[in-house]
Amino acid sequence: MRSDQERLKLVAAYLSGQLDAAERNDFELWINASPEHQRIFEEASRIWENSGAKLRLPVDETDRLWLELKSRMEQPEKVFSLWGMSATTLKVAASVVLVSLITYFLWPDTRQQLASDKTTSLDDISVSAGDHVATIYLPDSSRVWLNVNSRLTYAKNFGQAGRRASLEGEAFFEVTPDKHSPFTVATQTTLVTVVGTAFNLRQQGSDVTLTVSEGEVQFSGKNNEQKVAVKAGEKAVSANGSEPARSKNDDTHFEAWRRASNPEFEKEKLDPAAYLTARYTWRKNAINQSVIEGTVTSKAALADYRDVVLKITYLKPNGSRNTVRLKIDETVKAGARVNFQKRLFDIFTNTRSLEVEIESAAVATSVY
Amino acid sequence: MAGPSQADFEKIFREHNRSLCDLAYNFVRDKDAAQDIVQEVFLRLWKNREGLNFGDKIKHYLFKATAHYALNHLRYNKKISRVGDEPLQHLVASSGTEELGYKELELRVRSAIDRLPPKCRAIYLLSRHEGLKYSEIADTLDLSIKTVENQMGIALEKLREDLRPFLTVEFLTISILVALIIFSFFS
Repeated sequence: MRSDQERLKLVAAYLSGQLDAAERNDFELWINASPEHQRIFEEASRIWENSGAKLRLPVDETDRLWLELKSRMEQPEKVFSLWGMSATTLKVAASVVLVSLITYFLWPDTRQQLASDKTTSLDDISVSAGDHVATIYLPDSSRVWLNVNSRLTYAKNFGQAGRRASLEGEAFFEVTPDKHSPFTVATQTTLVTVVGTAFNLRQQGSDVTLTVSEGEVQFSGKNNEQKVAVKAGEKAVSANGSEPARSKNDDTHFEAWRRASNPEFEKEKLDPAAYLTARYTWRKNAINQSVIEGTVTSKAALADYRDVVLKITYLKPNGSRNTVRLKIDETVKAGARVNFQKRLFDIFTNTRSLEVEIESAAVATSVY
Repeated sequence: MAGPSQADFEKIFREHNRSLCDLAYNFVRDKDAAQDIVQEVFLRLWKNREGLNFGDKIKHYLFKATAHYALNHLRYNKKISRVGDEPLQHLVASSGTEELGYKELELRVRSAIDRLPPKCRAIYLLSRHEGLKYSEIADTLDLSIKTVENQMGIALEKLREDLRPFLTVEFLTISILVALIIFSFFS
């Protein structure tokens, strides 16, 4: 079979007039060399001779087609939506998926909570940061950065029956919103109550300083139960358990300690590609361009990435690879995501496969 | 540089539409799809008309673009292809002038061509119907000459496999006839 194909390759070249005089001569010698060759040649010639007729459309519809084209020429460019679906269909589909996901994730949680209410554990977990900043993920997916020489203590069943923690030293809290379960942090002399915010809490000697970066925090001293509401951009100091004194926060670097001697942040700085993932869809639009749409997601805790460069490699039918780069102008903030879209100029190529990788990124430093 | 006017464009459309539709039709064997392909080619040309010089290269461009779109259409519509659905009565000679009465074998060869894989079919048709050289086919479809060469061999092999019973029957008939003639001479 393999050799048949080789022979027919030669026959095809002969029949289609690819051979020069000398090659034709050789070919004719080859035909006459064996009856087998003759038979192959005759069969192929018969096919060739009987395939010369070109099909033609019976009716010339140029007039009608011109009018059709003309009206399309005057229309503004169509927006092609994913897989030919309408935007509404996609939105509906997305909502269905979202609702199912939410149900799926919430349902077991609810059941677990009901069960654990009966068996409340009194055990506490205590985390101490030595000479490195520690990052702690609480069971309710709140995040805490614990400064060096500080300690955070919370109940083993944290999140199941209230969210209470206590702090010695300094920590930055990023609290997952849950209005049914207030999040409280106690120091020796103060109490902080929040619903879902980000704030920094520092205990230094007998002074406790609260700085809020997002949302609102209720702050009170132990000697004076009066709660003070501290908003984003403000800070409050409670001296020795007294009523906190609120003021505007001028120190934009109040939480910069999180990036100093923090091994996690060092890793994020060294290897941005490890913290960024690109998810994308790829399709050909009506004019046969590859359209790539996707999202770059950062799982970095602290580093903001700028100048993210995506490397798009696509494989052409002839086996050659082309590389196109796409720089994302937006900064990909820690833990955030950024959408991107790219159209390739591969109109004449039936691109076989395509890959998008994160090539490089720089850590945005201006903020620190 | 300003692009061509709508009148220029209409002239070009009228000049080439028919032959391009036929080209696409031979690839995809679906009238509506063939006409859509050619519409897309022209629409795209119109959208990119700015700075475009409609010289003698326009014919080459249109031919290439149509062949490309048609091949891509084949690739993406493999599963719902309507090959063989349409009657073959639109066959005319490649010269385009004279209607012919078709032999059965011609019709069988045509449906066998329609069963070839997309790329293979496109290459065979460009060679057989358009009389293109391998290098021109390679240029039209953005393939290497080697691929064209191989695919031409594959095309003939597949057609031969597919048509074997018919080829052999005819072959046998002719052999028997020849044998009979020779026999009658001797007797």
